[in-house]
Amino acid sequence: MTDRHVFTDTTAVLAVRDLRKSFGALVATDDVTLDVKRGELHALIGPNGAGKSTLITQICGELTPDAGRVLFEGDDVTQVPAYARARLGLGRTFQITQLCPDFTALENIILSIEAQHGGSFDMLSNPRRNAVNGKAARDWLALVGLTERGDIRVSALAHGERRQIEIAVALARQPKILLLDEPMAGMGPEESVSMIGLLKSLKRRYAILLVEHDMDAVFALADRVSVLVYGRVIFTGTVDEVRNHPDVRAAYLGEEKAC
Amino acid sequence: MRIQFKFVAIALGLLLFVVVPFAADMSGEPSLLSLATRILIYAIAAVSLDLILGYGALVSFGHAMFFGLGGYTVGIIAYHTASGEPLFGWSGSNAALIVWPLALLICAVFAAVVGALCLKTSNVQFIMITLAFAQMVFFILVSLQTYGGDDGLLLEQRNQLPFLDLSRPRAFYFLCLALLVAWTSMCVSVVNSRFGLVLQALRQSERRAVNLGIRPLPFRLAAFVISAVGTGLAGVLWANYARFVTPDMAAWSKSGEFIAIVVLGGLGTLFGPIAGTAVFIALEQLLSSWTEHWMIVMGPILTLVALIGRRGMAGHLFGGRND
Repeated sequence: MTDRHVFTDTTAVLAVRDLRKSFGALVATDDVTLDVKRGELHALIGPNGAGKSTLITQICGELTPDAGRVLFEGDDVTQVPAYARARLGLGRTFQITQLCPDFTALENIILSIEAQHGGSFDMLSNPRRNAVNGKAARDWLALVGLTERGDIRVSALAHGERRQIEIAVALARQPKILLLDEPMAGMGPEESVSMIGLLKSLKRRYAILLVEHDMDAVFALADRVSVLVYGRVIFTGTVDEVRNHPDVRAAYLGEEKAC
Repeated sequence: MRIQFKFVAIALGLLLFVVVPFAADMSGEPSLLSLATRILIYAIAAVSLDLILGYGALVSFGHAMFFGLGGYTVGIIAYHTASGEPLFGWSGSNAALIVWPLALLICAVFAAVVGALCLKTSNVQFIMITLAFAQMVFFILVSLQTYGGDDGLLLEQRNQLPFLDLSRPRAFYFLCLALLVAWTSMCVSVVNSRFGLVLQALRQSERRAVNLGIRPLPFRLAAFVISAVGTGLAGVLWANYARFVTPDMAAWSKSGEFIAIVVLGGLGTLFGPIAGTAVFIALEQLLSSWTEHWMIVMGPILTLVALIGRRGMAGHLFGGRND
């Protein structure tokens, strides 16, 4: 939102260096090196089982890598736990929606706003009745186009709406980078179109690492694309480069068509 | 509509508790007051347990340890005060304003240590480790020969408060009622606060909460300690009510009884467990006057409530959680 998020600033918000993780004989992350620059939308694609989600969980700190480093704004955060990485400004959504199902959409966003106060143990005031919170939460809700749905419990919302709420929740925490794990998963064509529109509106304002299966979405949104196959980044380049790269076509795009 | 209905139900419940002593007088049944006092004391424990069980999904199968600890603190201090043997160089005291806060402080410190260890685990492991700690407390109490061991400890008199003669059943009853109201109000405030929001978020999706920057342990531990202090308060009141403490106060079956009461009343409703306590203890009284095998009837009732829905009585009346 501020000037320092403009794309011309080329410093990396997130840098992954030689990251490695194996489960027994399976190497899920094989010397992955990756950058997400300020204001950049970097897409990560790859066939099922390529290790995309494993990589994301290591970036956000839920899983510790065997080797390599994760740098956030130049600082090594490899040993920093997930909650502390979130406090530094790493926001994320999940492949399988993670929201509080018994809370309303607004309460979920208020939780995210309140989470900025870290470890405060306020046991007296009700954050739902805080006018500043309420206004801010409704603004985030409006941003994802769900103004009317704020007072409905998340468990009663449609799948596509939950995916949008999840993005509002991630944004309300005021992150510096967004890790979006297949935001279009399970969505119908119309919902996908509106999600692409939403992500377009977020582009440039945040650094975004987008894991996505939907090729149309990736080609419409991404500045750069990294292709992950068997845990290894086989190519990183612009959308056009990726589209025309023979190895990528063989390894991924061809396979995608076969499915 | 529902909110109004709930408000009316709570007001009616409170009114009912207020008129009990007068009803007991008029009907010439003093045992009614005694029964209602027991309900109030257990309700404080049930509300406390609901705070972590219903809102935090922390199934503590050892909460009776705090009930026992609160009770034994009162009992042991009373023993030393009466016998004149100093306790760690202290001659003891009968003043409730000294003994009770001390008992609650002991519960809080003990809960902080036990909770920090137990909360390293979750789910079934958490249930088992809280049970293990409670059994430890139980057997320590049994082994205290000075304080009666298995047989427990009799108290000569209740603790004393200025301006209120606790030896009068009615005064003691109204003190218990006031404490239940105050404690429940505090728990409602905690649940609706920022702290409560986070605690409930951790129950619903720990991953979401962690990835918003929330560290689970401090919140869960604080809730565990608050819950333990409430249960300890119930233990303190029980020791004063019965003027008798036994290791059974900390028995695993007592922990189970607390859980059954909360489930019966409705998880995560705070007011539900109060109603649950009233029904449970009244049923226990009624059934045990018919047969000593009263659990044969109580068991199926509890099973039915658990099967029909985890929302309990409050859930069926008011519809769902009080989130």
